[in-house]
Amino acid sequence: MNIRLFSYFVTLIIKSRMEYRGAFIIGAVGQITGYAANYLVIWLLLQNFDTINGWSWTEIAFLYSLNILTYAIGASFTYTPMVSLDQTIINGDFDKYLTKPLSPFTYYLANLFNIGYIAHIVISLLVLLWSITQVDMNWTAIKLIYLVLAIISGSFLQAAGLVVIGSLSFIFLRVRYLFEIFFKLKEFIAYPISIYGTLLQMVLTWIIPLAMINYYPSIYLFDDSVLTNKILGVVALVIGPLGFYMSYKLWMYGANKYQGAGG
Amino acid sequence: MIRVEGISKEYKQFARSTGVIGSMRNLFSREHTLLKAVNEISFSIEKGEAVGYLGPNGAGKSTMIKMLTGILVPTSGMVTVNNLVPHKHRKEIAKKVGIVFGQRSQLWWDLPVQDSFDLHKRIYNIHDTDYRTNMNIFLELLNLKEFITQPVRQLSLGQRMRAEIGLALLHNPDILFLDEPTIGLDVIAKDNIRSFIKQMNREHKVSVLLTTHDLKDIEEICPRMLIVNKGELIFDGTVDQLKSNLSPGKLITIEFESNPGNEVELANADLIADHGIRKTFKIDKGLDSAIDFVKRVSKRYPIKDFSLEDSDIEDIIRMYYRSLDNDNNIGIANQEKMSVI
Repeated sequence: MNIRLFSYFVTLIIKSRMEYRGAFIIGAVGQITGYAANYLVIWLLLQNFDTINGWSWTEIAFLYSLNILTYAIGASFTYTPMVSLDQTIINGDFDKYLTKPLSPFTYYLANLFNIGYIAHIVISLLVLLWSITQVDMNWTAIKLIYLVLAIISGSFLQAAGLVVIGSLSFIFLRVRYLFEIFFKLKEFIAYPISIYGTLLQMVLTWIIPLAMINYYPSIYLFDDSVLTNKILGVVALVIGPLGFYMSYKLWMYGANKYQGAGG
Repeated sequence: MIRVEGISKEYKQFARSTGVIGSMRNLFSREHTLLKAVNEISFSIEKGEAVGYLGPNGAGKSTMIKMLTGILVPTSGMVTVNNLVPHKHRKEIAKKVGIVFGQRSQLWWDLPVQDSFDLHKRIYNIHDTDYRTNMNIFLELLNLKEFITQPVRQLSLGQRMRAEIGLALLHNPDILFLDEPTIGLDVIAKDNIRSFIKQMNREHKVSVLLTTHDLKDIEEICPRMLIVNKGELIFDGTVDQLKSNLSPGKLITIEFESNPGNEVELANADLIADHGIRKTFKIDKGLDSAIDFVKRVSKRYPIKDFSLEDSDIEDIIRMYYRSLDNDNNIGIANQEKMSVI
């Protein structure tokens, strides 16, 4: 599937959603309010403590926004398709994704692209841009390019997490509780992971590398004089696309298994 | 065009114990039984043929269509469509076949019908001139013009099915698979769809394989039919062949001037209903003997009127299924003993 076809799907999806304009607007307002409240909580917290483990309010706002922005981008493509995959398989609706001259993966993602994340993107991008101007550091062209790449890589990694769990639908049929665990785990990276114990830090870095989404890019940007920050900063750029590719392979493996077993 | 050789499909069915303890046990031990949805079926379909695939619920009809379109991989046996193995060449097959699942939609629920057609044009990379030619055919023959600008959710089931069939044929497929295309439709909607499919088959040489419960679909569209039951192919031939194999006979109802009693000549005929002056006989042989029979009867007893009826295809199929249930090994040749329902 090429980008033109994918964007035609998105056009149709926008057209469909606009049939229910009111619901769309209410949803967007609700999401923006919800996230604004989250920011407010962190801000209030920092009014009392000044810093969390050495991180100022603006730095945490940057970290937090990076998580939400990459999640919103990744989830636009993968949240709806992956969360509804188990139901799609059980209903037998998955068959139609195997009857077109397209990759079932991209066809399935394109068909269920979710434009609702525009609200997340707006609020997190606004706060991110604001925090860039406020954080106590020197922005260079290289760092700005790094930030863009980190956002892309982080989006892939967020998407990969959803795709991996979605793939398990092909085997276990119902995976909703696994998504709940995933979202619980993701709450850890709302704050700098240095506040947790070593074990949890190791898990979030090497086993379920959620810290690669926002923590390591942030510490590299804030302080590139430390070698490990540099190394992990580069790892963070690679791990997203790599993780997404692996999740894609897993998903296709599941789809093949579906063809063998018959759902 | 389609070649199926000794194809089988097995599903694993996990045994579920009942009750709380049973369901706990299911967590750890997964005993399963193999269910043969399709069992060693072979047939082939040539270009331009229209074939009905018939069988009761659970006979493995949808499973067969899914194997032919590459959705499912057969457990054993060989399938080729256009000389390609469907599940290995899914994308190539998708360009060559059109699929209509009667109970699933390819249309975008909230958008005008036209949008779904535009999307398919892009998915299949259809050339502008081909697209316009086909759209003109569909606008006229399927009468899409009456609702092409309406959102799909506002269409009647019949309109929606017409749009589905047009959509499946938009990329000029060689083969059209239809899984219960007339399910839930009213008589007129069924007629429209049947005559359209028939036309596409006869004039545009699109091969058709359709599964259905409605025998009229097969009578109208398909000269040939395959009957499956419990995963096995039990008949492959024309409707006429099925009729003559089963030899259900003809029913003659004669109304006499006065009741001749029970002593009516019975050569070649069975008296199966007796209402005094109106009696119904069943005759095994062809139409000639029916006329002879009436002539012979009328020479001896004055008759007022008579009527002749053929058993229709539904009766025949019903007989067929029932005979298979009674005795799985009973041959077609033995069917003549059965009475007409």
